Amino acid sequence: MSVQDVLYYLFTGGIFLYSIALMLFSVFIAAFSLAEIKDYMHRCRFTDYNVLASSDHAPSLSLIAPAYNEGATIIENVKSLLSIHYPNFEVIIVNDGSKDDSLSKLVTAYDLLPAEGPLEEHLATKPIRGVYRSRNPVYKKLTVVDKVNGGKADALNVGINVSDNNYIVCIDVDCILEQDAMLKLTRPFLDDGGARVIATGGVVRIANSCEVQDGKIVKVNLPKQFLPRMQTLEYMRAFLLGRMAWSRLNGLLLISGAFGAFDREIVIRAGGYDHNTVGEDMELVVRMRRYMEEHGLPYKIAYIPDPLCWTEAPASFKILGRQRNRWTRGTVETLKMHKVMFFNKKYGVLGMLSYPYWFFYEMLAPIIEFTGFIGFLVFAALGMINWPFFVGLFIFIYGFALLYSVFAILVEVITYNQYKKRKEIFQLFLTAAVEPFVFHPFVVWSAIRGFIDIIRKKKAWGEMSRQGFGTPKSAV
Amino acid sequence: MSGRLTIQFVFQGPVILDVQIPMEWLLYLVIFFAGAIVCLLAYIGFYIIRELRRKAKYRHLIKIYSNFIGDIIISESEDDLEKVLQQPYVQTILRRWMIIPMGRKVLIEQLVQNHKSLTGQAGNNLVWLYTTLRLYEDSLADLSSAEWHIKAAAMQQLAEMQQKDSLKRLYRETNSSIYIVRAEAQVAVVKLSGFEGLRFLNVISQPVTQWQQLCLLNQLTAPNESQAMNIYSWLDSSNDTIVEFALRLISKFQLLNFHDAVAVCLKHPSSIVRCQAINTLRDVANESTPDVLTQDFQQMDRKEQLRILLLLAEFGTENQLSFLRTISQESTGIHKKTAERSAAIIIKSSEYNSTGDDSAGSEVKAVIA
Repeated sequence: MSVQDVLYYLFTGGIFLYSIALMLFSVFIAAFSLAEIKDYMHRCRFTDYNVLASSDHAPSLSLIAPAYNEGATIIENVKSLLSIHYPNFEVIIVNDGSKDDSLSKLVTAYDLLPAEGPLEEHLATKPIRGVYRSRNPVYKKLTVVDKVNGGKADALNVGINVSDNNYIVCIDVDCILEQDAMLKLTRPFLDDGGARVIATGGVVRIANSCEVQDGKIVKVNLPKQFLPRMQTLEYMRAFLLGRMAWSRLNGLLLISGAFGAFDREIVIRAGGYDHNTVGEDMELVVRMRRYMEEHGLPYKIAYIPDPLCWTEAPASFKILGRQRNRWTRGTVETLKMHKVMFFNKKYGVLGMLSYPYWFFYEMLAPIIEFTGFIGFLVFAALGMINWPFFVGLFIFIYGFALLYSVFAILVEVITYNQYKKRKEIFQLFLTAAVEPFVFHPFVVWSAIRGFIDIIRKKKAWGEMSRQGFGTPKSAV
Repeated sequence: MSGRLTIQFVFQGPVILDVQIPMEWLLYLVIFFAGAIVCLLAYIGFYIIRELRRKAKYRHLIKIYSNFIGDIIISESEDDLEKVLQQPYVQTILRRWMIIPMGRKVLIEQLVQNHKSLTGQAGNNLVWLYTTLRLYEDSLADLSSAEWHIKAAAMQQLAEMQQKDSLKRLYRETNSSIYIVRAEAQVAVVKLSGFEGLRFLNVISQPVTQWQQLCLLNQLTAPNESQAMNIYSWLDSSNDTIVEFALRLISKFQLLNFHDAVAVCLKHPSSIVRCQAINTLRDVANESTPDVLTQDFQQMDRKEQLRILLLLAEFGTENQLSFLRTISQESTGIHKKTAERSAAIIIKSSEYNSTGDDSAGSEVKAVIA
């Protein structure tokens, strides 16, 4: 056998085995997610959130929202956060050294006065320039912190220092929350039968094309634009299938930075958000889990499949590319920081399953796909491709990808059914059919660029401009 | 199509992996995926149509039941109730809908939902209807279901519709290994027998989660003296969650004579119990509370110590000033600042008490708030 043949067989065999393993994992994820969602929906029938809404014993929450140059929308966004239905919470807006007029707008609109800063600096941060609270009792739940610019992780750490509640909820200031989001997000913390619930995450949904009125989603529509629609399907797969399955196994490694609740005490003990990664949301969850495992403390991370948080998805290739580039860098940085857990029995499910899965199928997947594509071009040029078989394999892989997406659509329809028009379901199916040819290659390419940036040691977040939600009754 | 894909791993001679996939297999798999996609899409379509029909039927039932339930609610005597049952439209409902499971299920649902917001005669009328139509038989049948969610729903129905005959069966489930079943059974027995229902706390081995504690507290009214005596045994329970719940009961009903028993819980091995004991002492405080709080201060963890320092601002007297000064001198960070602040509040408060200076009083109140 020639060297060329050995390379050919190693390459094709390796990719073949990788693909088979990935498919098996997908089947397992689909089965587990369905079981978990079914259980969750049954459990919901027995949950009267009014008990929590009217209780003096409801856990105290601090909603922490970092803001950087959000002057255009900050007043409305804060108003929306203050109107959330929960009996015992405060809103902490951390102005991360904005260059615009965010702070002065907040001071004027909410009648803010300087107040006492945090009593103890649990987490090291950039200096705080001032803490403000309103003298108007209507806004007594609001605290605004002005600090020197230090990035999102640093701003969240300042919020954690300022908060003295038991639980913190980290959100993006421009997200739209459902009115009962906090009740649903907090509920798992109270179900600590033996294992301490250290974090809960909620599903993030895409708000592009939805009708927004007074900071609330009044009508859900499937995004009209191409990229947001692709991401809608992608989020369905990721949130309804992926995260629910990992939640059932207590193997979640990621709670979206846009919306997640954490046990403040464990966050502080684990060291808070890390400034040295652009994937601070994933890194914190991994570090909290690692802390619990290393101290032998039983714990759980819960996940809520209800649509609780709505966000605007990137609508241009440029912004989407930056976002995916950053996500790749965040994943690589996090996995590198915690490489000690890789196939380490000491860390249980985390070390033996979650971490390896993320390593092979989240981090390495774009590299393997990209290498496979280059290999394909080379072998095609050398005339080594068995074309009939290539076509067969291609249809096989495409069929599986389409089947998985259709399954995600089915789960959406039988659970939350946000897209009620039959036309929208059909459009989602078309999206699933087109996605592997247009959207997926772009996401892979953006991830490859992320790897290149890691090699170049690029640390920037990348600017994420948004179109913003419309004014009353307008569609975005 | 014909042929086969051969993948071989060869390492210095021996073949270590030899995968040969006949082309036909691939073809079969592609056909399988295509079939599965078509089936899923067909199921989505079928599901949407079925749901639309089910919802339409459900709405129709709600509409016809609303008149029926309305007439039942406003009835003033059993004769009136019997007359409602004899009305032609009700007879049609009974003939047509009471013989199919969905019809009975929706009526039970509606009765339970309405009963939650009604008391007195109107509520009793709904219970009468539930009993007269023997709808409890459906609930009791569901109580034997192997599906936990059906079982739990049946418990809710029986409890809401005041079916005290089912208490024995409900008690049996209060220590079920299935969390929701156990939780619903506990709420059901408390709903049916009030504070007395809490006797399951004497026997259960499973934890009572915080959520469950909130649900139980939500159902309870103040105990009489003999009922309250049970709390002593719950405070001694080996199940920490029961001790925590007992402390919450003392808090909620402000059972002042439990002060000393609560103070003992400050030495409990569980941090959750100790924290709850500190919170409870706030609700049943007397003149000895500040001393009790400071007695074992050094043995507490940081979180508990901080809570105590904060409470001293509320209940402390000049007797605690030396303690606070010591803490202030020996500690750093948040403990030092809190001790200093609490001491300042006590000093201001005592100045206010001796001089009657109202401005000082307002300032103190503002600081405490």
